[in-house]
Amino acid sequence: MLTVERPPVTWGDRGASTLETLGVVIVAALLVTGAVVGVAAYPGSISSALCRFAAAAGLSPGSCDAAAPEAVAPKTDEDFRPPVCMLEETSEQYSAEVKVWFFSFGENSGFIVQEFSDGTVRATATDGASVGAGGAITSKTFDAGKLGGGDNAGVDIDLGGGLKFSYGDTWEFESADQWKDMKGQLDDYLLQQEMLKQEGGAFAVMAMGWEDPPKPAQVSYTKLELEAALNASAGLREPTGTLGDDGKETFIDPNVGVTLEASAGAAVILETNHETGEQSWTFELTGSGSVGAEAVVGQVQAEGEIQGALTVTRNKKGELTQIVMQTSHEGGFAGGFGNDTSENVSGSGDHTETDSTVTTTTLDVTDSNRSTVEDWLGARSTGATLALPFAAAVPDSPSDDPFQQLLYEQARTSAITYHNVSDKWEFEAAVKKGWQFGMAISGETATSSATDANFLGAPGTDGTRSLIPDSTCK
Amino acid sequence: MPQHDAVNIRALIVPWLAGVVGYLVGLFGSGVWLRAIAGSSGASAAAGLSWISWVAPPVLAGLAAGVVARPRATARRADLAAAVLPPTALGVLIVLAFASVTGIMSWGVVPAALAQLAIALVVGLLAGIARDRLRRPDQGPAPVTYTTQEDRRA
Repeated sequence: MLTVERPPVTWGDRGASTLETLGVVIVAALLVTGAVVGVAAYPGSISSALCRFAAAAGLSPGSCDAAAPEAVAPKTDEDFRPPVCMLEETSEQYSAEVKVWFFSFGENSGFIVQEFSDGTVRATATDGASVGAGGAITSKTFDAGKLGGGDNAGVDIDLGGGLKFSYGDTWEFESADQWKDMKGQLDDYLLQQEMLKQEGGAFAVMAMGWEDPPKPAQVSYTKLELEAALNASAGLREPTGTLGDDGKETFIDPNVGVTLEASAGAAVILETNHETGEQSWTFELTGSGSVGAEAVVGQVQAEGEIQGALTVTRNKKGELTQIVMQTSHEGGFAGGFGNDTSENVSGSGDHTETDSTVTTTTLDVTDSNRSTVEDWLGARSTGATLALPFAAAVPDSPSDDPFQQLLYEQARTSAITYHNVSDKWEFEAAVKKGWQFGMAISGETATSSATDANFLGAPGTDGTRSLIPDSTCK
Repeated sequence: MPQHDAVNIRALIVPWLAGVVGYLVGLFGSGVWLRAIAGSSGASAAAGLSWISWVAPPVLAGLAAGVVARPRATARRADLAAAVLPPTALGVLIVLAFASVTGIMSWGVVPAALAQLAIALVVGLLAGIARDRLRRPDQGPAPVTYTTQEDRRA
């Protein structure tokens, strides 16, 4: 038999070239990946290092400084246009900023519905008391005294069928159609509950189709008495997000410099968005209308005062996200701001006494400006009064103060003047309701016959921000 | 058992289907009607008429099954129950399952469901009897015969 001798097999050598090739490929892949990731993570540093290396080697004579950032385009007036504004409407239920009406639901309940110019809708549950003729919204439609909070249990809104909401519960919708859908769902659900009370109601419910109860409100309001702010356990005091010397969280103490009696009756409204975790504290401000006026939390003043509100909003992480300052005073802005403003307030300006102006200044807080705003808020917990200089509410001029300078550079301010206000107190009460509950209730139909909307434009060549007619608000 | 006494199961399928269709038409048809009432006259008016959704399904189920079953499935009226009750019971079970799943099940639903079976049975029997009467009307007195004396003697 013919046999063939084979060389001995050496298993250790077989495939050696394959393994080596595979190793080379892996190492090469790691190097490429590292280079790509490194360039992506430190683009400036790597290019700068390469530049310096080339310069040292005489390959490049140029400067190796990091490339100068691209020039930031100067802000235009449009960058400062207020975010939400209502187009002109002739319906008596429209104000300059929002369409508001009351939707009755049953005998003792209903919703204050606001339709904003961007199409979004907010519906707030109330007991339907003090609604004006034809469902008109007045300053008495929403009563903060009925909100829960502290020792106050609050008023329940019973829609029937075992469906109850808390006074002030608010739903937010992206469009009017979504609100209509919820209305229909509410109707069907309540009918279903009524059916179930009947004998054999289960058959009728199945026949008509099952309806789930409406989703819970996204936003709820809590009324917190200012006195309770002195009690840390009440959780009222607005955390500043900074730690004090003792390592504990610091708070705005709105009562600093204000006697307890003076603050009696003042309230802080806490708005909580349960979906986003965002919370907003609205502090009521009252100040003198004299030159250099400061609106002081909780301080009660006599006539000629400036009414105002400060709203501080934080996200679910506790980070400051927005500051809104609002003021209301008699008079228009015909003479401009600054000292003229005080003249307006005192009634000696070139305007009719029945004019009233509402300003809203909004500053979006981001990572780039958060420390400045936090410092401003934090300073209020160190013994200073929580004061809001009127100039800050209308930031038309540069300032040495970092916070006011920030407002001057970034805040958006709307100024709406209401002419021929027939009932000043009703008007102011309506405006304050709007501040407290995020409602742009102006009381316009009852107390005013026309509006004049303006906003602060971009800083001009003279360094000031001047008023610009807001055509989209007319 | 004589052939004419046995229930023809295959022949019951069509009456059962007719009964199920009758039950569903009665149930959901009444739902549409109640929605229309709620829209036109208000929720309280619709709630006051909610019993329609309880009565209409067994009535239509019994009517449909009884009428379809009588000439096909059985020669005995008592056997109409076999044609009427199963589709009604199926509808009742569906409603009970719905009530259980949605959490609206209560002791009041059980007697209401049993009452539906009774209603369907009564309506089915009446429908079957009516169907018989319509198909076999009374033939009247026996015909008169004439006989002669021669005939009698023969």
